[in-house]
Amino acid sequence: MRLPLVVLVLASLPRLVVAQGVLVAPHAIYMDHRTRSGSITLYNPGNDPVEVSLSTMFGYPITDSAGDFQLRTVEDPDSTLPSAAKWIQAFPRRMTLGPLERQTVRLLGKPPAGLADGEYWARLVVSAKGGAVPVSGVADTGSIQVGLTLEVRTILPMLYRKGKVTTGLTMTGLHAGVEHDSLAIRAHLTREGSAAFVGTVAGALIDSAGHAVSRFKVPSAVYLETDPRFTMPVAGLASGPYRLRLEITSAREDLPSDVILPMPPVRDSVEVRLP
Amino acid sequence: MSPRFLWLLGLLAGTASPLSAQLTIQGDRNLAFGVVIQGVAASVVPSDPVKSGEFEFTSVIGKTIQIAFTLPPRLNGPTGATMPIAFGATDAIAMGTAPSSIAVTFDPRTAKQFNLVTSARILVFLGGRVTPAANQRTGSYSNTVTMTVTVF
Repeated sequence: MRLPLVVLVLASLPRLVVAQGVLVAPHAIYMDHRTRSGSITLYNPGNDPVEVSLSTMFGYPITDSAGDFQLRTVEDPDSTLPSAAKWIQAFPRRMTLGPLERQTVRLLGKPPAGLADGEYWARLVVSAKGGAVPVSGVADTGSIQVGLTLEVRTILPMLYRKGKVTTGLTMTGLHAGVEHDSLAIRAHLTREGSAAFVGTVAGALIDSAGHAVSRFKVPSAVYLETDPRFTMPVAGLASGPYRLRLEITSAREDLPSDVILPMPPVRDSVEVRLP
Repeated sequence: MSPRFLWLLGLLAGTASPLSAQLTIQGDRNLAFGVVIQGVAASVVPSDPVKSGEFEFTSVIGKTIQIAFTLPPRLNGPTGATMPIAFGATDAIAMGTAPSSIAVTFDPRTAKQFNLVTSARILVFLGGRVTPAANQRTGSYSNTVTMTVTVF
């Protein structure tokens, strides 16, 4: 297949247009009712100014029939959905970042009076676009010149906690099947408690001698319920019976430990036969 | 050591979050059809090293993300003139930058999920097709493509 080589060549070429984008840190925002505030840092790594705007919306991850994650957004969430989208505000909401310039954006929660204890969700949308960028080459009134400029948008999770919140998880319907050179694993995950589960899913394929012959570990989140699909490589493994073990814990390496809600590990296993 | 690198180190050190808790998304190269001829459709394939649009996304290995495009149906030209633009099932390519990364061709008209397994940096290339009319008004035609990355 020649495609990877072509793309590698593409990746090594010098940029014809200076990059227009933004670095955002962190990639998940946690706020609590004591301080009602949070912050993110934006940085323009490019050599041209970037116009950045921020907004909020309500949404949470779900899975489709194939087990892929989708963001379910609700424009006007009713009282049954724990939305913080309308009362978390970003300051400033618009800015121009010069080359190599950084900006701290403050997030301020203004919840309604009498807000019940619990966890409330929103999504922060960070949009970035460059300044005036030529669409194509030198203008020529006798010809037709065509080009499209690029904009980028990042949608990040934002969680606001009031009072004591807990999380937990139940796993049902664990099953797996071979697809090409991988084992595809599906399970139904339902969140318990008052806050989204944010943690890690780890799987191991155990042979008849008790050795783990394949593993995977991925960060995951369950806001309400999901039916995610995970895969682990099985190419080259001998045919025969194996046991798939799945363990879900609240550990996350990419988030500060103080925002992780502990929960007992959830485990299940199922027999798998490789052809 | 370049000032930019020093600055990045400073940014990393100044955040209370884990070092990996950041992401970068940027548009690296505009999708440019260049000069087209009246009545003759013109295509740019995503593997075109000069004309294809190029985005770049960097996050954390292990992260699951979704890439979605907002694609315009037409381009805007001089004095209200427009030109149709279309995107097909193979007009986007995504690829990590690790040696073992494999290019994935996908349809930019539908959202696509990616798991960052071996590479924390993904390059996304975009092509398309324009169909200027036989009497298309001369001048520059443009619009905007937006790539949205959702972090789960």
